[in-house]
Amino acid sequence: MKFLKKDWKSRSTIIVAISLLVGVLMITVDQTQFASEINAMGYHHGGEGKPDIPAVVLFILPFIKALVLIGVPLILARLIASILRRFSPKR
Amino acid sequence: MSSNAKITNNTWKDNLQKTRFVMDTVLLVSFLIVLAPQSTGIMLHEWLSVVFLIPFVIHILLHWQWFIGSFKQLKRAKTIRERYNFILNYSLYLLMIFVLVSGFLVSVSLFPTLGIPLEIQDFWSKMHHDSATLIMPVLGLHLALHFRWIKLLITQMSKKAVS
Repeated sequence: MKFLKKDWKSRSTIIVAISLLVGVLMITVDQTQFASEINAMGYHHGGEGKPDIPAVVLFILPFIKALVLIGVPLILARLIASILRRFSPKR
Repeated sequence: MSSNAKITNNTWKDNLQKTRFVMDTVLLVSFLIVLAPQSTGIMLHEWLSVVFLIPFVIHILLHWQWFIGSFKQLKRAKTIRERYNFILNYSLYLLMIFVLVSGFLVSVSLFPTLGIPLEIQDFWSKMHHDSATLIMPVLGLHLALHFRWIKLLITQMSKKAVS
């Protein structure tokens, strides 16, 4: 872990400080008109009660959703990159 | 984040590329777990999100040199890939901070347990849900950009595991 230990305290402090600053700035978004409109309209996601599917499927489904949402853009980007490489002029 | 990284036959802790690969795998797996609150339950989801900050900071620490030189690199960038990499990495960083911040602002377990009263706004609930959904395809694009490096490291590390 020698790569991680190099100046890790000062570097981590910088990362945390910048992230906190960015985070605090992001919180100010809730003062906007857009935020007020959403608060006025209300927000709710997910159905009422438990769906009628086995517990194992219920447990696995969120992971499958994440894998699909990560995997599909990954595959598409790789596909587009390979097509672009094939048709771009060789250097 | 070089794809042409030189891999030597030492342990992963002695090799920057291997250390990055192992820690990135830990980051990805922990992220997948954090992304599934319906599976883990809200309480565990919130506490694991705090733990997730460790591999997240480690990821930035291991790519410190890239972050330090990123703005200079952008000025000198000749290829679309370099510019795309810059935009994507910073977008992912900002999105990650937004997901974490909005998540903490809709906390129903973490802050109440710590004795911090929190009035949850519908706005932050929506922002947390939407940004957490958006971060997944952005992560997919980030992985796609470094896919060659990932493939190279998998090949190198599996070869060593076999020999």
